[in-house]
Amino acid sequence: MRMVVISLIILILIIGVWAWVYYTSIGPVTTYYWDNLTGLTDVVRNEDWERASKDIAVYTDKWYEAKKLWVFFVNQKDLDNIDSSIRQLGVYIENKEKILAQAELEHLIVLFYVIDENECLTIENIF
Amino acid sequence: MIVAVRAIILYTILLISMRIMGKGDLGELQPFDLVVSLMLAELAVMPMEDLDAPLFHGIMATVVIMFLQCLISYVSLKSNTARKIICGVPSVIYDHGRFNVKDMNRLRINMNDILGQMRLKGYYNFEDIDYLILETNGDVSIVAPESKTAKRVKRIPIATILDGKIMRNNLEKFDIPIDKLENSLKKEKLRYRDVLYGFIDENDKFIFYKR
Repeated sequence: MRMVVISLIILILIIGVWAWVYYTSIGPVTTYYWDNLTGLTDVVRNEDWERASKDIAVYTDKWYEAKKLWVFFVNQKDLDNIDSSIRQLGVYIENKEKILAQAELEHLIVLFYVIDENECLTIENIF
Repeated sequence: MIVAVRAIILYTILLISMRIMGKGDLGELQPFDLVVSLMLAELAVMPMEDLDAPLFHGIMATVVIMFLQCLISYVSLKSNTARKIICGVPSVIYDHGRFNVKDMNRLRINMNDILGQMRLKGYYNFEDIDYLILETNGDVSIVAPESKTAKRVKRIPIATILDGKIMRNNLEKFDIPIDKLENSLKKEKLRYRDVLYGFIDENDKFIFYKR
């Protein structure tokens, strides 16, 4: 019985850590990026490059902050894809490449969506 | 280098898990023990090979397996029914000249397997043995007299009480009246709950071991 209790406590701790990371970081951060990247799409469409540059700088900083924790829980390949996409987007905005920036924004939104989907406890993910 | 560090971490976690799961799991391989060993081996290798996969995934899966193993071990320790479902029951394959063909077919074992197992145990003739039992961990037990002139085993002991529970199936199967068991318990001033293991020997004598 003692070992069942010990293993149950360890299991609850591990699940607790995962739930804490998901509900305090992965969930809110992905929602933040969906909302703001959709807003940034409109800014790029209107070719307001100054505002777009400021926004992407903020989103990049926030991303590197979130990544520090995510690296322990999320597949490294997914994080590398976001890294690469966010940097590309920065370059496209800097060079005022409207079409490429819009395409990269859509790509980035999908990458965040995929992370949230993969970590979410759903029947589709289980099977 | 990362692989080496990950290997050390996973080795430590597996070692702790195996210690928590207990010695029984290391010594004998019940069907579910085998499954657990294979799964743990696979889970340990996965995060070691794939450096993109977070170590946390491997740790979480190991902890889940460890908990399930501890839970199943506990349940099978406490409940005879669960033990039967999880571990199965031993099958008497040979009993004083009679083969249990029904169980042989059910367990998909043939005469060659039985003869091979007998040879491994040092027996070459069915005349020399009284019982051949296929245990739940797949091993074969042979009940035989120590020498050809020694007394033959008439019947293997039949469990009547296990972990404080009366083995009603055995009583019915071997026509043992429950009154007889109760009278024997009364004589010994015991309640069946106090008995860890009770059996009836080949001379129809009830023997009880207290908790």
